[in-house]
Amino acid sequence: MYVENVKSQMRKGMLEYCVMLLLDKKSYYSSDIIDELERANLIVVEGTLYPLLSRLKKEALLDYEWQESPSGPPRKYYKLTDAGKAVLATLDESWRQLAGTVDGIKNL
Amino acid sequence: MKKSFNVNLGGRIFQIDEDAYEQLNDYLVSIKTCFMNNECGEEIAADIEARMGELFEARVSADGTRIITISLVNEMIARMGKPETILDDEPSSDTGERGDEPSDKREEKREGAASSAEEYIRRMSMGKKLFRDGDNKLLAGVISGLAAYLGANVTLLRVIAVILFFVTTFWAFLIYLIMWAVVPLAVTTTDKLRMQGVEPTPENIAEKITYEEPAIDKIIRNLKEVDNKGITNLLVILGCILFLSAFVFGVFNIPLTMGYGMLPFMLIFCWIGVISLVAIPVIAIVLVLSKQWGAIGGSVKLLLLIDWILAFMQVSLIMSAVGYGCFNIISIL
Repeated sequence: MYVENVKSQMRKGMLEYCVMLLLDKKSYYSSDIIDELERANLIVVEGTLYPLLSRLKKEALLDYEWQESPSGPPRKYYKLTDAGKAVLATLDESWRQLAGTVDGIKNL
Repeated sequence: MKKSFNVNLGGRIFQIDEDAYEQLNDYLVSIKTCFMNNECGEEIAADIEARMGELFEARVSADGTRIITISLVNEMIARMGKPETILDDEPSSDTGERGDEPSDKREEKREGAASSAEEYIRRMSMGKKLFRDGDNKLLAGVISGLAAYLGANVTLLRVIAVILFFVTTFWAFLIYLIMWAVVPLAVTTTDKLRMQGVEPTPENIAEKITYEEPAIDKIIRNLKEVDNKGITNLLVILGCILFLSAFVFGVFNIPLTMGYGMLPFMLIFCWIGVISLVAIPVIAIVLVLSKQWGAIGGSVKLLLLIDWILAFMQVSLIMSAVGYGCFNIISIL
């Protein structure tokens, strides 16, 4: 239980950064984001993603546009804004630091 | 047999069973209430609804049907996550200065959002509600629902009900029939929680849903049998009444008249016999004409036949006892 808790905390910390990393490369449909995150074992329940996207949208870090879908109703395609790319750059930096710190402690 | 209708889920049309609809509606409402304090709450709820529509689409087209069942709804709810789990992953359900405020203050705000959601649901439900308990029913679940409502023992209430039926002759049963028609059956998780007087908060609903999940397929499989059980019990009771009244009135030749016509008590049993005699063939003909006859279980058909024969015997015996001559029913009708 305790281990699960710690793992879940780590996952939550990573989630936002990973979503932004995904959206930096190309624009994504939310269900495709879910597929990617599930493949990477980053989310347990799908519902978690939607408040996160809404939060990033509110911070103007990402934006979406409606696109026709081959089947079914139109879909929202999310992509990073310029502000989002700037924030991602600083997050990249702090991730590098974090990873460096962890490696450093491991190799003490 | 279940009622089902069409539903528009995020721009897709599905056919959905009534109980599945209620369950899905409960879930979507609880999602909405969880994000009530979020200015984009509506949008989040709409996104989740659209995603569920997409998942249902993938499943129902794979299954070759367009019908959403309650087990499918529960599966998708487990996949999307309970409202509290989704809310729990939210660092802040608030707008603006994220990261600037101390985390305990944010925690407080989240608590605030959750309790206002609970408050909303509490206002909707207003405590305990009377339902028919389909899970513990003998006939229609009226008494077991009443027991849950009053917090009383079911068996005790049933004994009282049977005594009342005999003491008040037909009236208690008439009230039972009216309650059967008027009191709704507890179908969804919210219904069942409210029947037991438990607050249907998103947490409680989620707990009950996850608790029931492994058993849900079994429940659905048993649903038709349980439905038949109610009808079977009713027909058995009717048969007993007809047989006993025929036996008492006919064979023992108990005087039915007391100088001023039939006793009201006996008249009621006469009416039960006459109504059964007429109603059973009418019901059978209606069922055959509406092509529903095949859907009825064999035991129910057999009981209908037995009850009709008993009704015929009872009515004939009573008529002869009263002095209209054996089998001369048509003249009295």
